[in-house]
Amino acid sequence: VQVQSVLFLTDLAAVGRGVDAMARAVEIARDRGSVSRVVVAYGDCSPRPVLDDDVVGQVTRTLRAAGVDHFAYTWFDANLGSAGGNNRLFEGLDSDLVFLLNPDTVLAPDTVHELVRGFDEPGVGIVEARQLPIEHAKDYDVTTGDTSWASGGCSMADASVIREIGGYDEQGFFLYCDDVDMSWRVRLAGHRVVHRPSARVFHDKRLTADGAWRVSPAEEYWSAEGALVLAHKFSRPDRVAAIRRDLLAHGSEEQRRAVHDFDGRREAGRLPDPIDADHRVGQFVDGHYARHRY
Amino acid sequence: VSDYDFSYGDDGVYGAVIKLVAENSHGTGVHLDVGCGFGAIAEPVRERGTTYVGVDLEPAGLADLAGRGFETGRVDLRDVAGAIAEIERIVAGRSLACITLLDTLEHLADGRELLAALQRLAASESTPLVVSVPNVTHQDLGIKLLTGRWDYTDTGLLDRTHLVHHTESGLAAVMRANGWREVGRADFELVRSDQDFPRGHVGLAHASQLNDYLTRLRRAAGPHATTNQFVRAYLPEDGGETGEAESAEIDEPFLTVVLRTRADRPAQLRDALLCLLAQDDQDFDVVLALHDAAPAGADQVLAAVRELPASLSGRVRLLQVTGGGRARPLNEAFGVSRGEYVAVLDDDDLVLGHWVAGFRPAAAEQPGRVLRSVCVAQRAEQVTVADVRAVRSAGPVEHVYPSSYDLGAHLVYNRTPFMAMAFPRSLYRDMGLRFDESLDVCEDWDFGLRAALLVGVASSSEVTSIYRRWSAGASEALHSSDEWRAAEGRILARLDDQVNLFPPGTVGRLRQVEEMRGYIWDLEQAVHQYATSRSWRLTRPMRALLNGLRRRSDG
Repeated sequence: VQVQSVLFLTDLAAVGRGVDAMARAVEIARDRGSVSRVVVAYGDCSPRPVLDDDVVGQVTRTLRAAGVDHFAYTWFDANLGSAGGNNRLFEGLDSDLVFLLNPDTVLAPDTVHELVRGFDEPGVGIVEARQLPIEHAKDYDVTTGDTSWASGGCSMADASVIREIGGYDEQGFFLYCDDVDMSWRVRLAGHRVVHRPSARVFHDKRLTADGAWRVSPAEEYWSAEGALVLAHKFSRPDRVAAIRRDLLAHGSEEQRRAVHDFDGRREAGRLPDPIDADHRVGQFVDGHYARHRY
Repeated sequence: VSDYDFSYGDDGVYGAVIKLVAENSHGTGVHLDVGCGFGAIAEPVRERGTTYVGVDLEPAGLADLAGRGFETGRVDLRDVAGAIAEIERIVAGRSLACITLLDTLEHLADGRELLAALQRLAASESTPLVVSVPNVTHQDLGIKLLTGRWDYTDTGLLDRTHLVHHTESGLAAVMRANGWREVGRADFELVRSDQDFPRGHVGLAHASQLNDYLTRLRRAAGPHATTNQFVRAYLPEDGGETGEAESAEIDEPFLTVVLRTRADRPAQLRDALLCLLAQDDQDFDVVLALHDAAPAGADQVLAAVRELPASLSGRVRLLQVTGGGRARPLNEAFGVSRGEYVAVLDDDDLVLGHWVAGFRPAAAEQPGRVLRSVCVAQRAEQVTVADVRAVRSAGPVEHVYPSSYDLGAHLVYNRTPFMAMAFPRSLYRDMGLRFDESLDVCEDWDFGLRAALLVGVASSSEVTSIYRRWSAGASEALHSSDEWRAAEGRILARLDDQVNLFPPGTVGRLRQVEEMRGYIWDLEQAVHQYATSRSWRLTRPMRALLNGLRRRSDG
């Protein structure tokens, strides 16, 4: 397994908690025989390296003590985005599985083992973990786990499938919807994307005082941009038009800026070519990319 | 040491002493009464068939005893070696049946050397020792000290010659440290002590609300609120304990998390443990209370804890709890908690990454209060995916609990899931606050209310926890509505049966309520007057006809 994370100004304490938990999860997976060789690759898109040599040394020692064979930390010296950063880490990928993980997450001790077990089922290309404490609402088949898409925050993929589809579309997506796009292309290639609720990951989310999601301006911008590009790429001009209208009429300043930038890319011919013309995998339901349970 | 001449009475302190002597003394031999004064117990001791020997420094008492036909010896207990040598000379190898040390220890600046010497004297024959000392934690002294009074008297609880004031824990510690194991107690109780003055002091007057409140606090905080004299029997044992003083709190974490489980929801428990592992403030430990857990379930819990990274598993203590209702594990877990605050999670609760950290600001700004953050609710269900049992959310996050704590509203019904509160551990340790084990439901509401009424609540509007409402198996569904109503009734009746401490703002709230009652009364009067008016009565047939027509057209 290659475990990989892309950092961007990530809080050092959060990285430490994540590494600690990951080390234990690898240890348990090795004890149970579900993994053999494990490498961990961190790529850093921050303006300055988040990890200095001392921290890299500490992380290396922690991971090695848990049975991780190799730890590599690469400062990209450029903000490649989530998609671009992960693609850089895919280069030279020689493992059977690749574990995509947000750096500010904390794995449950049995998560690596549980995700690997997900590949016991036939035809699985990606296995997604359940995020806590705020779970994603997208629906999945309660018998098989099959779902529309898998979050790049904590999913394990068959490395050969990643190679087959060429990784993330970093030209199309910078930060948001890159995982939806990759999931749908995996499914277009004939592989299954499954959710596995027994595999847990803590993804630190906060709620506002009235119980709503706390969304940053950057999240507003990149999720709006991702929504438009995704609808365009999966041959849904009707959705592109509807999202544009909605964001321009009711969106925040960041969201309206995202619309203008999208328009600019379209005029410059810098949008990806549309695929899934017969809408086999692309799902646009009430502003989501899957049917939601609630 | 003593020049007091108090006579013996079966119902008094000396009667209590003789009871312990009778239970513990060897049948024959010398009864050594150290610091004997006038030897109030001499005759009852002799009647038991032992040989009374009184030793003291003051000649008056010794002369009196000698005149009554008892053996005496003059010893100065400030010179312990000399005193023991004199005692050994008087006893002269005779068997020691019992030793008494009555109203004496408190007159010694440091009684440890004497206690240790007596222990050596008693060790060979395992001679019992009966001690009596006044109780400085009597409620009368506490109430008076609260109002700035500390009244020395010639005799009694605050005898002006007392050099050391004893508490139960202090006495227990000094006895243990000097090789004495307690084997009996016959403490002398006195609700109105000799310190029940000045006359009419409203803190002491038994019908005043203030006295009711203060004495209830004192009784809840610990035993011996009305003990006048500790009367205890001990036996010598090898090797005293070290560390006589109560140990200081070492490495006390900010929070102890009590995680309550019956070990029958492993998937949920693993969710809760993951939430704890991910806390950004790790200054907490965990008491994992396994309540009536079946062996297989307990094994699963154990495995889940062992799997955690050592950084957390090393801070988890397992506590097996047997019997009782939902309150039992909470009492036992609070009893072994070490945190400055204690919060409770059920095994199916979820908390956000700043759940622990979210309590910090309120703790810093309003120390001593109950800390309260905001919880949201979410429906959840069990699923089996790819043959593996798991859980998932089944509804949106619902903001159904208020953003701040309002005592009045909470008196109507509970609006704070338990994991959104952290309690100062002092409530349990120092104030004796306990969960009511007779309650099968609402034990959290009851505890929260009583805590809030005692120390108040510091609220934070930060959402830090999620209460999961299960499609089946929730405690709401496991208990009948009659049980809930009965529990609520008991809780409120008990609260209303006592004097309570309400927070600032309560006077205004009460006034509003009374004004509202007056307004409603006025409305009722107006309605009554209208309904009994002549015009209303005269139009009754017309209204009946119209109502009949309306019913017919509706039908």
